[in-house]
Amino acid sequence: MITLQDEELIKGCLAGKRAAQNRLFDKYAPKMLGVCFRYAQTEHDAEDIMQDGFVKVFANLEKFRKEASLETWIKRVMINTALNFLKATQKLRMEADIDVVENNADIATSQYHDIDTQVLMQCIHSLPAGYRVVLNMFAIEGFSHKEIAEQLEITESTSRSQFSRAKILLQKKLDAITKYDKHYERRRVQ
Amino acid sequence: MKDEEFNNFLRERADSFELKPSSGSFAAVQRKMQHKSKRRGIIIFFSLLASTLVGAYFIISAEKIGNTHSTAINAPNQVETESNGTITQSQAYNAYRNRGDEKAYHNQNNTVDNSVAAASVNSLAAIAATPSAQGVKQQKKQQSAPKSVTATTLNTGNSQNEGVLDADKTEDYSIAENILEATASNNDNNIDNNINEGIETEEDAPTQETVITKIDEPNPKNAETTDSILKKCNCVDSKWALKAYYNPFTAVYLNLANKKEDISSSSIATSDVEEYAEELKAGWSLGLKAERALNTKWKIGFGIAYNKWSIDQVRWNINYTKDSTETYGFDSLSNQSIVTGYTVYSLPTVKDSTKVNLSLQSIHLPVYANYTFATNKRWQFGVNGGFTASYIVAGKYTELYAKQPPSNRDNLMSSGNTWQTYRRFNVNVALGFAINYKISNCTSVFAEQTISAPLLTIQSKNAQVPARRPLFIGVETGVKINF
Repeated sequence: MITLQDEELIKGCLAGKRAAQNRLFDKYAPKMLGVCFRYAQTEHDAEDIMQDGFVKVFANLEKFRKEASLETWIKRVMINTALNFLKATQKLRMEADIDVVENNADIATSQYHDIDTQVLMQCIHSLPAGYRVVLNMFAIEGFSHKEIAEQLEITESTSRSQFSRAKILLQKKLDAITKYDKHYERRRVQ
Repeated sequence: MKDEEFNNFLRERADSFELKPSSGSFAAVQRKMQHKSKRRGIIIFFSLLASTLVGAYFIISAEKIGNTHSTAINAPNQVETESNGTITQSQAYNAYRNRGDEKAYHNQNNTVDNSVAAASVNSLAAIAATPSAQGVKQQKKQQSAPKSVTATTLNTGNSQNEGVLDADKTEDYSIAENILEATASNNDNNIDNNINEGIETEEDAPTQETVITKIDEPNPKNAETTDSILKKCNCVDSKWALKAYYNPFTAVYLNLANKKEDISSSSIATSDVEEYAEELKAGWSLGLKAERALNTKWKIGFGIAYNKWSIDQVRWNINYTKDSTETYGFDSLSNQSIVTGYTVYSLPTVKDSTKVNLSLQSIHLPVYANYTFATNKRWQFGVNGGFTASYIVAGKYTELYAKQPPSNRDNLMSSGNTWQTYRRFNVNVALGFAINYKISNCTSVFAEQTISAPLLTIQSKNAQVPARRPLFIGVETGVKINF
């Protein structure tokens, strides 16, 4: 599960070696900043969350049981830090939905394959906080609605409806971008 | 395509998504780790301080009880002088008894300590002289006389110990009688000498009545001393008090203009917008105040405090691209899709962003008045109002994060001596609510919540940056010593 390099890094970090901490940070920071960016409101919030997350990682590294990969563990720490940050700054407000929006319409993801990852992430990032968090947790991280409900202290139905709304909104944004690209290309051809 | 496929699509893209952290990011992590350990140190310090205070409270309480005992033990000598040693024996006994150390008392008497013997002699001499100035030996033979007098003496001798004796009078009498007898027999010769030297005539000898009267009267000297001690150490009445405090919760609220682009407009445009945000970090201060009570309600005070607070400032330059796409509808006449409207959307792109930490250190000189509006045995509630002169003595500018290095557009941000652009001397107006809890007569702990704001804006030299008037909100917690 754990690579030899990670094993050495963990040993170094546990011994309080700054160089080992720096190497571990350099290795995982870009990916973790990407994770934090998906949850955070702004880029500097993401940077803050990532820094706080690494402080926790270094402080609690002895609690890492090596059951999963180090990356998965760090990612989990980052997600928890992000959720705490959003809760503390009251940026995570979810209105309990009375009507649960069910969106079972098929989404033809093939039309979105041309969209740049950066733009896709920007679209997720631009979603309202509640939608964004639930979409991230359910669709990307693979949490169940029950787990999301427990973590965010909401009901399962709220989680479901937030996800459905997030999906609809994201779809609209992606459609708009696709259409805009096509429109721009058409104009350029003309 | 169902949910699962959509989720997989998002997951794949998210897994490959990375962002490069800023160059100073790891340094910021290290700084935060150090800050965390400092905070842990502060928590440990306060835990120790709290336990010390609690310990001091119990020690002071214990000393108080100890003082009562020692007063009782020391009393015989004092009273001996005042009333010719008539009650020393009983008081000494009572003192030992109060301490639960009768054995020690008896041991002391068995060794016939000279002082005790002398005291007993005086006591007996007085008793002996009382009925008819017949001589002690004769008096001694009449067993009932000493008994009754001793009993009276014991009962009235020390008001503090009356209850103790009443509880077990018979035992008290017999013990006291034994003591007197033992002392008298051991000092037979001394008794004669004392009688000859000390009580020459019947007039000189104090009567039983005078003895009792003298015993009943409170010692004015003692009373005066106690009173003066209480006055000296009374929280309410003491004239001067020194307050040492720590304010760990200073938060600074800074209202700053935050320009944001209105994207509700339907006009199609591209605009560059600069946005600001300031996050104010909690600061701390350490101070000393001297307070003078004018009366039970009003106090005035002055002091000196060291204050440290910081701001995280974020500034980012955002390019909003507003555009619209056609909304299509189906035209049944032409059997074609037609444009029915436009959907306006906006995609913000951060061109550059910077986050800096500005840490300022200042010396504060508060002058204030306090009004106590409610008091009970231990608690005091009041309000504070006054002014604080502050001077920024040092500052530090640290760049925490920069997506792109700040350009020359911002002189303030790129300056290494940013803190110097702030108005260094300020006068703040302060208001607060104070709670005082009396631990002992001399010591109390207090918490004072304060809100203060500078009369003028603290930033003056750079007109491009919005003016600042921070609001300091804090809770001063500390110890007050009364003199």
